[in-house]
Amino acid sequence: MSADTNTKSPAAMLRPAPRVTPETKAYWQAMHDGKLMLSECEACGKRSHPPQGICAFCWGGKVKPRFASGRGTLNSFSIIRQTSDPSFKGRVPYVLAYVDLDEGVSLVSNVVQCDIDRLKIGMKLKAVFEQTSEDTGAVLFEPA
Amino acid sequence: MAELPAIVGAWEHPTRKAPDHTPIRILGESARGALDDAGLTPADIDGLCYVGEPMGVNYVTEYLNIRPRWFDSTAVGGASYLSHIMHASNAIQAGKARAVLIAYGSTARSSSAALGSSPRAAVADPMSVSDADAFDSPYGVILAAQYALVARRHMHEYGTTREQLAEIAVACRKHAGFNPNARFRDPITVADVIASRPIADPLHMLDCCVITDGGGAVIVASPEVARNCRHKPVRVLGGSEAVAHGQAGHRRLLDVAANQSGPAAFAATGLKPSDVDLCMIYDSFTITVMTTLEGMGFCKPGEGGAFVSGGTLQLGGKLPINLDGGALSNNHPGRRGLFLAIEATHQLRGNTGARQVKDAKIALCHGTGGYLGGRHSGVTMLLGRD
Ligand SMILES: [Zn+2]
Repeated sequence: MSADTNTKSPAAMLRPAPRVTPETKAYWQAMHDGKLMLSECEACGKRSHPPQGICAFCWGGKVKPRFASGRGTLNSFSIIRQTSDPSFKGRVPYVLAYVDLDEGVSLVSNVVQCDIDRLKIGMKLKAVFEQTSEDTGAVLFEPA
Repeated sequence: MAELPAIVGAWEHPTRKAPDHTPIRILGESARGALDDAGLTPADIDGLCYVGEPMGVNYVTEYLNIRPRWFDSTAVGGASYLSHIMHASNAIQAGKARAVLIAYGSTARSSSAALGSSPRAAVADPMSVSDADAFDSPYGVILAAQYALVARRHMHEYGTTREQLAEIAVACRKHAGFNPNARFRDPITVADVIASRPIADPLHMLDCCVITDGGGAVIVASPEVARNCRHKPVRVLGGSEAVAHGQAGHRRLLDVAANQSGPAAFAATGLKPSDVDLCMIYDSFTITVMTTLEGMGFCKPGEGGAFVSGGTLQLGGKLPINLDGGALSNNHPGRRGLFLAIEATHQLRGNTGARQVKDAKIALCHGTGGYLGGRHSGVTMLLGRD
């Protein structure tokens, strides 16, 4: 069985667009354009996801965008077989994943284009992108 | 040691389905129940704790027609009411109140709230600080799956099995059999849990808590007030609070809030895990209990699977938990923390009949509020009889 193989969703199957704030606008725009944006603090050098206007480690205000390579490793996953979210009802079963990026930060996403039976913690993944509106997008992961 | 504030009233609403009730009506009936249990009157109440919508305290005090001089509405999810009990105890020790009512009511079941499988609400409040929910919305995150991420990781790192997780559900169901009010009372086996419908693998239906209507109330009072109450006081010995969250992308899934609040609670009270006679652990899912037991130090990290096997958690076992049947079998209207303290109080009074832990002196309550794989709170509280 294949979970959510329909990466290039037709318009009717668009993922819900995230709520955009002034602080996250550039992040979602980058995702729309096929790039995963992390942030890196100019003062302490720590990398963060999600990006925010102040560094989450030293609380300094000088953070710069840093774009992820898109390479990562599957840290954990769950196969969701039931949801009351209308945007996802038609997608079950789909795979929620916690992904460790090669850049040293982790994030929640979905694994797509992968047979459920092949899912394995530690498997290598690569990012793919999907637009969710005219100025937002989502990052998903496929087997590398 | 100076006498500590105590739980003097504890009452759990028997309803599991109340389509004709409102949450505040259930709360009001629960307040009445706790008041009667304590042998107090409305005029004795000079403090209130409530978790809910903003300004909820204003509405609850109006409904009960009380004008307390101290209140708290700490809102950290299902663990909140344990925080309230400790905050109330501190306030009483500081002379800010004498008798604090902590009350709750919910119609989660009648209003068809899909607590575990629904997406988070998109908050558009100009004063809201929960922008980070947006980072989950494109991915169909549901609550059960956030817990499942932790379960899968625990299985991967430690070899924990679904059968071991199922032991937790079996213990809770066994205890529910002794509770006439419990939502589900028929015994289940490990095989039943394994064979139940998958919700968010590796968690199946019987790994997940029930959804019910319900409510309850507790009254925490000063030692002076406690002396004139109907039942023997159950002392609030102390505890600790913690949060865990995404840590800017540096979170390890097994680093749960209980790992911090548990040891801190024991340090604060001078107690140790071997002093505990019973545990009331917020069992939103079986994995929540497994990580809590490890966090509290009842076993080492990774040894939870072996620890729960062989009936450890059942009445008569080494560490009985959730004697009311827990959220897995008894009740779960959304914020279960208060029920942990209610059952613990009755256990320490020694009046729970067939489900009584013999000669129980010390009870540990631990609540988890929020998303175990993401941001959540953990509150640990120890209660004891004189
Ligand atoms: Zn910094």
